Amino acid sequence: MDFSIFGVQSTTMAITAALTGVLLVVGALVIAWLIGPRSYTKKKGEPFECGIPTRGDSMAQFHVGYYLFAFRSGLCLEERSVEMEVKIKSMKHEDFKDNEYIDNLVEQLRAGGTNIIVGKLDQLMNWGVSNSLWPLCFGTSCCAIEFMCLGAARYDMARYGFEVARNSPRQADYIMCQGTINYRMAPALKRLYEQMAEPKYVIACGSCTVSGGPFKNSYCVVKGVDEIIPVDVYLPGCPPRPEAFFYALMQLQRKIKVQKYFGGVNRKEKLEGIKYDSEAMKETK
Amino acid sequence: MADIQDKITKLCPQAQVDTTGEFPLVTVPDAQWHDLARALKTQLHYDVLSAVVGMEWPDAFGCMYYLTNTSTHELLHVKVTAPDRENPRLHTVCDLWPVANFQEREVYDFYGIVFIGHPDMRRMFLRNDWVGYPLRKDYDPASNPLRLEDETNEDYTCRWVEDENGNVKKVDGKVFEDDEYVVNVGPQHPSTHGVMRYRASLDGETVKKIDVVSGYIHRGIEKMCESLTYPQMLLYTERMDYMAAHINRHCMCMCVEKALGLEVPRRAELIRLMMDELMRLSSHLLSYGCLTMDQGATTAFFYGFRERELIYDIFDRTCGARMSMSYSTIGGVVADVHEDFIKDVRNACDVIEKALKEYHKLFTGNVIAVNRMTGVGILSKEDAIAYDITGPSGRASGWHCDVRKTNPYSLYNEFDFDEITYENGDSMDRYMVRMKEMEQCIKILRQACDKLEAEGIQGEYIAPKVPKVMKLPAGHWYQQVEASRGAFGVFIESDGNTKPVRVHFQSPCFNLIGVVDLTCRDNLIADLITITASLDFVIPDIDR
Repeated sequence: MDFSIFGVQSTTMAITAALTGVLLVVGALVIAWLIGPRSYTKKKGEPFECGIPTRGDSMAQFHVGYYLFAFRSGLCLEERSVEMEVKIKSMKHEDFKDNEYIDNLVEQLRAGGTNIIVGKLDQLMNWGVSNSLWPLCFGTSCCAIEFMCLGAARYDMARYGFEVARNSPRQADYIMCQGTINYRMAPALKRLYEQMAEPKYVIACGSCTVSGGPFKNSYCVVKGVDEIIPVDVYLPGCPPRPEAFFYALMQLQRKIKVQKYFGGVNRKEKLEGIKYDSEAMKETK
Repeated sequence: MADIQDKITKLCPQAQVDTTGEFPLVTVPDAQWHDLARALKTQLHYDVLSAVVGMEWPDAFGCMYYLTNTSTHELLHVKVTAPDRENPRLHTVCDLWPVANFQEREVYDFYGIVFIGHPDMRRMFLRNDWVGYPLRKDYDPASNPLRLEDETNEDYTCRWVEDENGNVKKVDGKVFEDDEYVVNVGPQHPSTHGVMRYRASLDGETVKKIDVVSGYIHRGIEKMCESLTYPQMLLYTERMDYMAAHINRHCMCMCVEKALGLEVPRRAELIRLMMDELMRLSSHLLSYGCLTMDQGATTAFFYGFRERELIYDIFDRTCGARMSMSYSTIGGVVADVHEDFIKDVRNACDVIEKALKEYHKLFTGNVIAVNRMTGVGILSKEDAIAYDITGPSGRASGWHCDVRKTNPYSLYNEFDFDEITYENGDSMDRYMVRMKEMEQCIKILRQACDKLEAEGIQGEYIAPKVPKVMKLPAGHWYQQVEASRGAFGVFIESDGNTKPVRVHFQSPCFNLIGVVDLTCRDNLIADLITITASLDFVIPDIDR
């Protein structure tokens, strides 16, 4: 066969296209490997089992017929892409200048000074990350219903890029911890948090997760999820209104916007072996 | 009442019957309890075991059993005391009423009362390495700090058996064999509607057995209530089944009002009733949304939530909150309704009535919905009664169990509405009962709007003389209402002080998890999601 497009041979075209495709994928992986924050823990490497350790050997045998389905559904799986084209109007600083924590953080970062190229790259990264925050479906009680309202048509969190609620922690960016965490759930929550990919964030949503709320005096309720995992945004309310959810999410966006990937991650990740000192946490709260 | 006294004394001469209270109270020694239970069930038609309440009296541990007669809808209380305080043991009744299986496990979990002959004596809500029994009065909270290690020994269980000489010994058992293929679903799973956990043993795609693991949102409400006054306690009723917040709170208020002998103004009752029905409507809409989404119909979910917002707006205007409204209070309601209340309710009724037709067009006749729900997860009427499955799920099996009809409370006597029942008891019927019940809710709300209009825009919404310090007379107090998911009951034992000795909530969802194994067995694993969605439970209501 001999035909050409714009004077270029079809074989050359095909090779160029293939090479470009491979380069894009490999390039994205290399960039992610270079700049993406990472953590390695034992729990992170485990198979995802809804927050529970695996029973027995996870290498179970299946009937050969199932592989056909597995192959077909594997083909249909969508890879996650960075949604760069989503444009949102973020919170203006003048409207929401009540968050001392972020203001202090920005001051500290400015004091250190930033390389102009690296700074621009950080901005690009943060713009991408903050506008496509995907939550992990993690609702234990009442707040989850309000979160469902948030996803439904009236409040519609899709407008902000928050819409893709993921059921696997591998694909989620943040845990919106909705509802009481008790002593039985606590190890599962910790496991889910550790199984999430970096960068990851936590919003403690509702009085129960902030401090134990109305169940503070109970014999089996965790008095605030910050005893188990680090929390980025505290959202009080019992349950909070959907408008408050948006406020919390936009606070998280603001926090992400000042992050640095190059030249030191400002978010100090505490990994395996950490024992959260709950007394110290209470003081800083 | 004297009639029942004679009958029971004839069945069991050792039993003492006290007919002075609201319901007859039978006190029977543990040795005779099982025989009496069998006779009560087979001869006197006490087919339903509504609740098993573990108790700690100053001198002994024991249980209160609440039995309901299916033909006359009469209630009977049975008090059984464990003879030995150090090692409290009772005989199980879960061979007579299968619902007792989980109920007794709960009692074991809270009080450490061992049930002889129970097939699976594991903890129900607490971690299996928990130390002590939290509802005992001498429990020390420091004995169980927050532990972040995973639980172990999940496959092992035990039971206590009694030989002919009366010696009791412990026999170990297994939940699953080592070579069984067990799939874990939950606690973090989108289709378990919260933090429910199932462990399903599979043969290919077919479910062989399901082990329900509960307690991932157990908050110890019953224990906390013991250190609170009655008005303070109301808060927790809304946070159990948050989709029946008004109804649960209404029930608690009625129970306390009954004990205090407090007369509630008619207007307040009417407002409460309207709020109850709005809540039911909202709950069934949510149930529609979730059931459809679990089967892949995401659009239907948006439709359900669109109409729910109307009801939220009504709550918001009158009560000041979208969820957890804290509106009913002892003696009436906290404030009068918003001036546009009746107009809003009428509007919501019109919109939802129209929307229901749309829902049917969108989902009910859909070939996928029909094939996935018809004939799947069948629950027979006998099983529904044996497992005490009330509410829409029980009515789908053909059991007339609506408390609004059987033991009318509030002003339900004055309203004209139908009790919806279906025959097959499959997932489709459970779904249809809810859809039809919404039409009945609208019917009730329209009648209530007329009645409230006749009362005038404003009026007396709280009883004029509500005591500031509430001391309930000593004794047992029990009240049942029809919540969104079945019969919800409040049990209070008072010793005459401002704080109760024991509070127990009989939650409809707790019984629903008892039939998950029964309905899912021999179905496909994919049907687990459909069946549990059609049973429609709220997890915090199970765990409390």
